[in-house]
Amino acid sequence: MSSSDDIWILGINMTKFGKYPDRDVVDLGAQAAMAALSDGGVTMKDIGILAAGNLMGRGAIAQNLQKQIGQTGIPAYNVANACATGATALRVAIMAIKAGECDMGMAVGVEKLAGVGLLGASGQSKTDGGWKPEGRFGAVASMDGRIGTDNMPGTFAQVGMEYGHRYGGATFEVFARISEKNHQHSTLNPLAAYTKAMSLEQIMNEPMIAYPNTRAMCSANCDGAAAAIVVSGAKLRTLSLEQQRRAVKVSASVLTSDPYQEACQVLPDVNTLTKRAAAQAYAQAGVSPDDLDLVELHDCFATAELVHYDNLMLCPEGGAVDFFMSGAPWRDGSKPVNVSGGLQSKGHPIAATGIANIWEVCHHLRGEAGERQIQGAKVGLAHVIGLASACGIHILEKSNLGAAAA
Amino acid sequence: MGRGKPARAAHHHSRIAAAYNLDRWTLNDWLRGGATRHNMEVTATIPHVDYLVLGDDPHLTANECTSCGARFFDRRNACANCFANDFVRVRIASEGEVRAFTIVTFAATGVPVPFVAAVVDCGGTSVRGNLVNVEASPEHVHLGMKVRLVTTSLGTDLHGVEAIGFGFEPTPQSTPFGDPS
Repeated sequence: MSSSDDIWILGINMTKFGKYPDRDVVDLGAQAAMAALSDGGVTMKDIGILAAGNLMGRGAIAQNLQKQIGQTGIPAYNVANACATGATALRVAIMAIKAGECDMGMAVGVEKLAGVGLLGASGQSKTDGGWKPEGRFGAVASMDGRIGTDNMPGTFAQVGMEYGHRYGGATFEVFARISEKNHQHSTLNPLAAYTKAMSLEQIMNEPMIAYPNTRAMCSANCDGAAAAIVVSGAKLRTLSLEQQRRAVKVSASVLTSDPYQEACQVLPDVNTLTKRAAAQAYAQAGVSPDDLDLVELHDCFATAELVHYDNLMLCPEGGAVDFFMSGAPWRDGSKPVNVSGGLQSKGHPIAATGIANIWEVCHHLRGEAGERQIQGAKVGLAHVIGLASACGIHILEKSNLGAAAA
Repeated sequence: MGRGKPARAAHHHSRIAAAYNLDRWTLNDWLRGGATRHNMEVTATIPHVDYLVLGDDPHLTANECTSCGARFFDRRNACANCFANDFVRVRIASEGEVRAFTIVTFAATGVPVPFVAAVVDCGGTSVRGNLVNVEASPEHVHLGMKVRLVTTSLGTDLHGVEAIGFGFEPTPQSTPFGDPS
């Protein structure tokens, strides 16, 4: 990216993840949006585009938000892209700026999931009168549970098991230890939905959901919102030195879908599109995995985190188990992964996740992460993946502007 | 699906066949009248999914792209791999090896648990299915285990039609490995 078309995050915010029985998605989204504006030192008057996502909601979240935070008549986009919804909303705002339609935009992701059960499971009931073939497989009864599983814990369990089949070493205990790490990390994150450490034994003895994923190894359904203000480099340079100093450079913004692979429609292939997105992102940013000071990756299940060490090239091909067992992805290791607590402990309000993980990285790059600060962090990567599939990767860099204000 | 492919012509031989998606064997069985129960009730069968072929030799089929060979279990408009739009119905090997599995112990309402969900490599084609006739525990299921296709009953509807599904069971060590096709 040349300096003339560089993109920056000017302001960003996430709500505490958890339960908000008295607030709806519009309240939560508005809270994050107004806080992001305040963080960036701008108002809705400065914003030229709004992209918002609320995957499980009824739609029109962008317009409903405008009614709460400011109806300025700007183009508003409602975005849905599974668990990559937040990252996709951010990219929509970035693309509008790069296209020259405006110089500042806002992306919001919000979800209310507290108390929601299993995601992805259909549980379609048997026909009452007679068997009747339906759908693209001509199925006379639900396929979920009879021909494999549609539920997310089971799907991602197989993703991890398949990796183990290919490379070995991926035992139940290894997956549980990954979860132990993320739950431990969350103790330092006051915005996480769950902030309690769990021992390996506790995690392994939690109720089994889909072997090898116990409950503690699954992403936590919760409520939450996150919002970001993005700005062009040219506009940023007209703002205050303090705004320039706290701005975070978006060195790469990539979205991929899954290319055809044998078996990709039998078990989702979350690997190929992530590898491709990572390769594109590293090339776009001109950085290598070695340059990353921290990574927030999509640990929707402990089994998913393992394969993404490999997909994001944090380790040699096939080396994810060794990488993890070396201690590298712990907060005090050489390549901290999910210091926020990850989806397993921080929580996973779907559409918010793809912006909340960027907030986490920005927090460290700005040196504002408090107790869990990765000292001297200069470059970070945020990754999300949504099934069907969509993968969003952003590489972020600490500002070198406004040094005089530091 | 490819135009003019005869593989599933049996499905259109009668209104009954059309209504129940019966394969030729089942239809003939019904026409022989050898399977009647009670008065008007008929014991006929219908496959759980249209890519399961019943009869003396139950097996799975797939829509194979005639251009690149990619295989799909559901109906297709064009090939996801090469965009060609001509397909032929092919038989899938009935024996294979477990490439990935999970033991689901918590599922949607109405789905009996525990069950073993798996991806089985059947002669180079990945197939999704449950492992059956094996204890649903990590001690009894392992990656790489050899399995073979079996049919299972999903129950009988009010018209006396029994839906037949499929799963994969462990292949006994003594059974010669090979694709019967």
